[in-house]
Amino acid sequence: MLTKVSSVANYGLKAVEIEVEVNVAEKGFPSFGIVGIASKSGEELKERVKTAIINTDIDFRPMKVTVNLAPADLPKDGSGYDLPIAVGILSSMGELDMTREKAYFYGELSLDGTLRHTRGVFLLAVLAKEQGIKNIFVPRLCANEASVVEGVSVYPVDSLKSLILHLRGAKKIVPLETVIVEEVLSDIRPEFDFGEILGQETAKRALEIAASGGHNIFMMGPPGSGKTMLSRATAGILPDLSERESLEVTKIFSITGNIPAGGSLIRLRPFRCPHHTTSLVGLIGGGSIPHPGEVSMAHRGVLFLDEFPEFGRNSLEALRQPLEDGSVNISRSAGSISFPAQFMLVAAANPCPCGFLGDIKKECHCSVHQIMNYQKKLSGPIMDRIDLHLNVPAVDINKLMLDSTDGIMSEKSKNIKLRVIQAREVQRKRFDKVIDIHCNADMKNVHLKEFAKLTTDANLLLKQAVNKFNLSARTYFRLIKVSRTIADLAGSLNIGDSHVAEALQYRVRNE
Amino acid sequence: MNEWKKWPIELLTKDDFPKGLRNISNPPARMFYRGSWDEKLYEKTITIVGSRRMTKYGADIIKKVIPILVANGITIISGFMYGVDIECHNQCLDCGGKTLAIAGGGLDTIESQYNEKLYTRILESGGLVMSEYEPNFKPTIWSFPQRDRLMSAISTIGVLVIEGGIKSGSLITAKFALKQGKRVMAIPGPINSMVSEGTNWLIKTDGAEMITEISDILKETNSVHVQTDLFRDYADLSEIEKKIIVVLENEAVTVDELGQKLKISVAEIGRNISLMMMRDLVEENGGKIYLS
Repeated sequence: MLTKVSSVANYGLKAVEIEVEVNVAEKGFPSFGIVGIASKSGEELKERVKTAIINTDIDFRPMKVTVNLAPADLPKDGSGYDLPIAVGILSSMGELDMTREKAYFYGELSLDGTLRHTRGVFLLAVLAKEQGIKNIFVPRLCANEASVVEGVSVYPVDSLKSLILHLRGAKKIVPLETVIVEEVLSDIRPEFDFGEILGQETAKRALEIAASGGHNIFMMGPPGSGKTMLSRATAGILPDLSERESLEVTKIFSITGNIPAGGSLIRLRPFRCPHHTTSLVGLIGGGSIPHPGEVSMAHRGVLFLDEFPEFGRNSLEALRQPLEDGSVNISRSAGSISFPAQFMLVAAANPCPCGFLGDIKKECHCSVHQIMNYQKKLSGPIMDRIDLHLNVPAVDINKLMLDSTDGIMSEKSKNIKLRVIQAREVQRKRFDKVIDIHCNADMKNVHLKEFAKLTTDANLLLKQAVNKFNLSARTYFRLIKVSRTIADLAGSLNIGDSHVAEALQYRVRNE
Repeated sequence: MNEWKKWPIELLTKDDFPKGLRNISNPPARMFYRGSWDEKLYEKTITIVGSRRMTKYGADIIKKVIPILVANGITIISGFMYGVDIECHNQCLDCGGKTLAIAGGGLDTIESQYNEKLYTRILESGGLVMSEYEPNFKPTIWSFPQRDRLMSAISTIGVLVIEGGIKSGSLITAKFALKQGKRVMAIPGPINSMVSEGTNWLIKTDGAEMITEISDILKETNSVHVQTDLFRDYADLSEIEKKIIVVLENEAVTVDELGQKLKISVAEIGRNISLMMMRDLVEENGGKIYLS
């Protein structure tokens, strides 16, 4: 007997409805054949499904089972097809009655018949809503992901057994209540608070400016100066994710299986810190069935690249497109896929390979050639896309102790965030009518005349600075953009000389 | 880049050696040089040696000392190595002085590409680059200390050490100078700095005269221009700038530390520092702010 069950395949960031056709024939040589999926995944899937059914106390007699995942030309990976196939087999065997309203089944089976955490459930729910599917059956561990989608009944399934009982009408599974997105989004606490980081006030101020204007930032400092902590805390001073942004991030996290068991919408801005040995595909995305890379996982959040010059040349070059366009395009023979990748880049580096160049207490062990090669990597097109450059010197522990007894506490992320939100609001209004520009960092040189007006004093100062510090034209424009953000933070309409003066602190040091 | 190759390599036999080189116990058999030969170059010379890992402090001293030495018509001799050596050569050329480099390897083997620019500059300015080794001889671990005996021997005023570790080539040069009966001078440095250990040790063990002002170097020569330290006029400063200067007079600090000490926000400090940098009141290096 032939049964058709609906399920979903993920391709890129899109879910596509697929049909799982199962035929169980009493006649013919007993076998279990599966088509429409790459052979390796198919082999593994067969064993899981077979054993799970047996361990659910169903008499799985030797029969000729044929499974087809249609459309066959759509590349399929992942392990979510276990459940629909199992349901199809059981129905064909007469164990279940599937003549009912269309529903999506999705989830990976464990050998004992329970359901595992499976990636991509959120996208499935979004598709179900689009297609007008009322019911979806997904593993309980990831059912919360789907519960934020309105108008879809999400049935959290613990095991094959409980699903059978539900479908037979013996014991109903209670669908999850829809969670209101706004409620989920309120009450977010940052992972790291700037208040916990003592010292490094300059770096904090620079990160505040960067967060306000959407600028990328580069920090140079010896090991242990707190670069990682600072950038981790940066995600916490960015404005909260809006509903739309949250859904975007959740999509990516769902497809990469990064939502923890029981987790639902992603509410915190992502912070990603890939190691410098990360492969090009790992960083940018790709693979034969394209998969989002770290730049996409950092979408709407912070991408922290520590040991920046140690990253492969190819990897750094490949960062250019996401930095420019806010997305990554991956072309395969089966078609091209675009992953969003709008992130704030925080790059960090040591002053030299060993890290102690210029340190008075520890001697640097690098040769001049090593240092030159290292610093050579710190130039080039990628650095051109970074607006703020700063030194993060090592902090003297004794001085920190002294301060904390003084009763001076560092400012909390919450307060900084308020200023950031305010500055972003100013920018939102300013760029309301301009397409593709959301923050000061997005401005092109042509926009500066209109949106970044300098006072006479500021103009004079900037001109002097160009001569004094030997600044390039590119740096000149970057300075204006950063000054614009500083002025926004100060609530000033025009850019004054004090704003330019502060921006000069974050100029490129060695051009 | 290799314009310096346009100058031919000349051979110098023992009889033509400058006086200082003739009288040492183991003089080289012959010398090679590039550049224009001029006896006057050797009349009044000082050898300045120092660490490859020069710090901001060393660079500051060089910036202060060299212009006055040059103004007194003294030829600056150094070792053509990166760090203090190159800084000395460059500073000397910047002030329009004459400089002489004694390389630790052959004249055609160049340490690195940024030596090349300097090489050409020295030759163009009428200075010399010389060596006792064959032109294509690659410098080795023993050739530098061997060369050091020439560095000390050729100088008429003596050897000045600006920053040097305890086991550095600079100290080897100083020891040769002592053996040859030359004056050895050293600039004292901070006691927590690795590259000042050698210089401080020299002073402590009476191996070197302590140099604390430029007239110390010139006291035995008939010098004309001894400039005392520049007098700074700080009258035209705002309150906050004055406060910053007071802190910086004691030590170089970061913007963060300034903010902590003065209880002023770093944004405010940063603004002021930028403006002060424009007026050449302060300068920045490796995240620290220095008085200039």
